[in-house]
Amino acid sequence: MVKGIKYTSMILSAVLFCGFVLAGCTNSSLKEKSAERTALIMDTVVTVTLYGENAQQGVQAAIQKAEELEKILSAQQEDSELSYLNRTAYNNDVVVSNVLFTVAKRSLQYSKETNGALDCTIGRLIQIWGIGTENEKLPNREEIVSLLLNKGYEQVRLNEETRTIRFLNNNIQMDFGATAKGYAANEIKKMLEQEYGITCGILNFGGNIMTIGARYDGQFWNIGITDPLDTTNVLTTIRQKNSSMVTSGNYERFFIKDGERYHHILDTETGYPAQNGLISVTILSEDSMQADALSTAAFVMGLDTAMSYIESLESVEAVFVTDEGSVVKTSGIKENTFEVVP
Amino acid sequence: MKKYLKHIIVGFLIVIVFIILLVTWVLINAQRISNAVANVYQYGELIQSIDLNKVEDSFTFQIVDVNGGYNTVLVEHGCISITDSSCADQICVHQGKISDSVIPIVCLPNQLVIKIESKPMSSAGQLDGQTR
Amino acid sequence: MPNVKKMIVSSMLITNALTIFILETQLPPIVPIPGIKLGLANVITLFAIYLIGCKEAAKIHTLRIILGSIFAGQMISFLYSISGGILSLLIMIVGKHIISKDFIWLVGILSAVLHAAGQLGIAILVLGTMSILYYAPIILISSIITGLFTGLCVQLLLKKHEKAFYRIINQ
Repeated sequence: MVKGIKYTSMILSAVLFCGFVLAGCTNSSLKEKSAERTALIMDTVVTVTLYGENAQQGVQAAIQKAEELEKILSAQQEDSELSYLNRTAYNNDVVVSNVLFTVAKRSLQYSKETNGALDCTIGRLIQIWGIGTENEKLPNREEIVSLLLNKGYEQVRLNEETRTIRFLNNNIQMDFGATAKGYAANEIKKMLEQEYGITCGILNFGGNIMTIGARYDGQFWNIGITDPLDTTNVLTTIRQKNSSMVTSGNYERFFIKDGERYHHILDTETGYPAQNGLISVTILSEDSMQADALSTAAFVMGLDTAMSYIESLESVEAVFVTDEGSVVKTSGIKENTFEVVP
Repeated sequence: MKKYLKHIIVGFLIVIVFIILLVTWVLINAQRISNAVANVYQYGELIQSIDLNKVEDSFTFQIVDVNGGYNTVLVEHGCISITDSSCADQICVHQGKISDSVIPIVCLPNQLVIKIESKPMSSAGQLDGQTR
Repeated sequence: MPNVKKMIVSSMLITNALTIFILETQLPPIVPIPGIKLGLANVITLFAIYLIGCKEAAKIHTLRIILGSIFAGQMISFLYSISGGILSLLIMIVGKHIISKDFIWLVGILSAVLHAAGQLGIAILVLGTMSILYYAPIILISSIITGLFTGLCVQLLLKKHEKAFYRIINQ
């Protein structure tokens, strides 16, 4: 019997000991409780990856919300609220939902703040180019010139009390291609944090990245920026947490005709794709709608204007790639790390 | 004398092995990597990839692990090194700078490896995400 | 050798081994290469194999590794110590049976080399990369040297005090 006790206590202590060793060795188990879902929404591939409790419910809710927002903000879907607005708002006060009103208001604000480098009212221009759709073509010059608006963003009237929108120019069509994904990322992140208690995850709206919290192991997320000169490669990797990264590049949507590349980021002053010395702009910010809007605006502004504009903003940083391939970063990106210090 | 014959034979064999190892070590040290990129691995996963030749201003960054251990990495034009660490033996700090050697800098306690490898960097599996 | 005596000798040896081990961790590293150590505590293990037998020596060896890691290191160092330690212990045991007492210096070398091999193997698993193997040549070189020293120590010690030890074992 003594021998039996001796052996059991030996085995028990061995097991206990292993337990202690293993406890000292394991990393956090957040990584194991993960869920992911991918869907085609807003004409782009949306992937939601979440970690922790409620990850499964979270991804379902996120995709659902993205689909709801698409029904409101899509310029392509004919039965979306935006399309309805575009059909009826000339010289007419149209009542819109809170979401559409907010997106319109903020998009117009960004248009104003960037002096038209971003302009959410050039829907018609975007349509005749049709880049990214089956109708893409090089429109003739007269068509383009006739659609040029002089500060279209100042010809839209918003009424906060009645929540109505009115276009003051017949050529205005609103298009939120440069801001809707960012808005969706903001709202979905807020919902996931507040209603599902999510503290760790990545939202990817067709390349528009929004991270929630730090990575599952407490480190920064490593987010790559595609090399615009060789899209199979990664140009550089940014370490960030709890913030958004959006890139606008001349390689995303374009067509080539007679040896010329026509990409989808239009310069509202010329009506043609912006050729101001940049081929890729990545904006880093906690606010994804801001990152989305500014990535388009900065692309159109050109390096010098964009650089001073971004440097003048707090908690916003940028990575530019010029058409010669040089990479320029704003001063707040130290050691390729972007962190918003509260 | 005969008594020691066996010793001498065995000893001789060991010396041969010793010399082979020595030569190998010298050869390894002499190897250089072309198209070099410094890759930092923690727990076996790539967490940073730095093209040392593209570095203009030197900078440092800290790598922290879940147990609170840290390593401070100094990145300069053409070379990388660990300048400070929470580990007990500090071997990693004394390993100095590497620029194009095949021999990595290793901090065993913090499970950190800094390797010089040739481009291209491994596929997007190491990234958590990528903007387009 | 009666049980009580074995126990007493074992405890003295393991205390010695632990002390040597912990003292050794306080020494600054001789070269900036991971995994190179003097391994002096292995003298005790090797010695114990010849003095009081493999089983006792095995206990002393494992206890020294476990307690040593707890007192002087983090849990991660335990993994390295035990992987190298088991292999070197095994070769010592094998060595006792098939290698004569005149070649204990060889057993010392082999056990040190295998210890290093075990550590390299675990390091590859833990670090997730094969690149630590680039250190193998220099680590093995140092193992040959330290193993020779360890083995020689034990061999000469046993030889010189052969009669005294014989009396201790057989009373």
